Amino acid sequence: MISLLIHANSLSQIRYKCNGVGFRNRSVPALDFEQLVEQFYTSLYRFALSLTREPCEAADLTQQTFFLWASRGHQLREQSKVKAWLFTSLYREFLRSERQRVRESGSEDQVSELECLPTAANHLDGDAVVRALLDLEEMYRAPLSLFYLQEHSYKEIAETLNLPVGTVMSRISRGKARLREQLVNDAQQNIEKREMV
Amino acid sequence: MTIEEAKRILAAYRPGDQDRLDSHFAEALLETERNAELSRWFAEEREFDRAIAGHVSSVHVPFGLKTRILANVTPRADTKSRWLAALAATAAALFFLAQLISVWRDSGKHSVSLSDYEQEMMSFVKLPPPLEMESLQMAPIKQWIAERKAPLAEIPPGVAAVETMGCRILYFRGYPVTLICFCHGQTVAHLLIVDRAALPGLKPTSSPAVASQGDWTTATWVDQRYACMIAVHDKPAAARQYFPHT
Repeated sequence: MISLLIHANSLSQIRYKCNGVGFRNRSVPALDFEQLVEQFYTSLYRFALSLTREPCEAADLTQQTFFLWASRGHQLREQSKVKAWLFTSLYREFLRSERQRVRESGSEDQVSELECLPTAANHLDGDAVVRALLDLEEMYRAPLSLFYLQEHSYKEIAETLNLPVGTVMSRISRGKARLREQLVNDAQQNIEKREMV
Repeated sequence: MTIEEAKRILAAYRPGDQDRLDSHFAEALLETERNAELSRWFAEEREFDRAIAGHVSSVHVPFGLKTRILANVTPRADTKSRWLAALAATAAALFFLAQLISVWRDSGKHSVSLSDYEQEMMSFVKLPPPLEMESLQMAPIKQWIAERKAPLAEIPPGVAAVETMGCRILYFRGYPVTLICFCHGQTVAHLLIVDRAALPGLKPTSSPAVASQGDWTTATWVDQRYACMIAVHDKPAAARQYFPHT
């Protein structure tokens, strides 16, 4: 039996335990699980990164989601809901760890988290765009990340984030407007820097 | 429908055209054919969305993440009926009993190999894991580890001579594994210590076994109580300075 428990750092407070017994009792062939991981781990990681803004925590959160699937996924009756189950579980797990983090350390981590992000390039390249997306407030970041992953309709985003459909549409619309503003500001700052040089 | 309402709805229209059959967007899409300003806005919006989606889909996923997930969660194949399941369970129970007796009679046999342990630990340090405790000094790190009753072996002089970063406790097959990170310039050396009981049958070694795993170099050795491993993201020639002397 495989048993693995990782104590995450005080910032992330993500704790996970893989108990082989629970998963081995699940009536799903190994190949299915491998296919499931293959199909979703990339997009789950990208969604997790948009939430945590820290690669290690995003990787932990992605693995934790599959652990949850291992212990509870067999309860899911409709196979068509696997994607929704995985993304919803990841989001709930993120909220749970955030609540724990706030309880234990207050909200002093915002600055340090941003310092971990890759520095923006001198022009609006991929890093700058992703950074601008990660800089958005969580209320816009989560729906917008799912929207740009392109695997979720606005209805599925609403289901995953447990929000009304109208709220999701508004947040996508406003989130995009803020993203544009951020990118324009970044571009202007880069132009000013070049002129100074 | 006003232009603002149409814009709010169309903002949620995915750039890949997956939503073209969704009736919710039908009226707003029709409006783009009637209104030139809305049509222009929608074209620009879609171009912007495509560009952002392209960047999001190119976000790098850590190397080895899939392997790590699959290594830590291994499901068993399904059985076709209750009868077969019962039969399999009985066989498994008998096998387990036989194994238990075998282990009891001959502690030299082991089911977990050193290679399993090395690979699982490498999957963690390659990511690299967040530290639970950070300190530039060894004394507070040792105290933190001792308080948690985690394994702590003698630190090899090669890594003891460089600055510490911190530590963390991982678990392997239920046994705590102490991870201490050391920093030397741009190089990080990871020292992993686990009780020998986690790797049954492993005998003490007189010198470390050095191996290469891609860009990484590892050294593993076993004393009377612990199995230790140092993993360095460097070539063997450069990594050897951190390893215990043969």
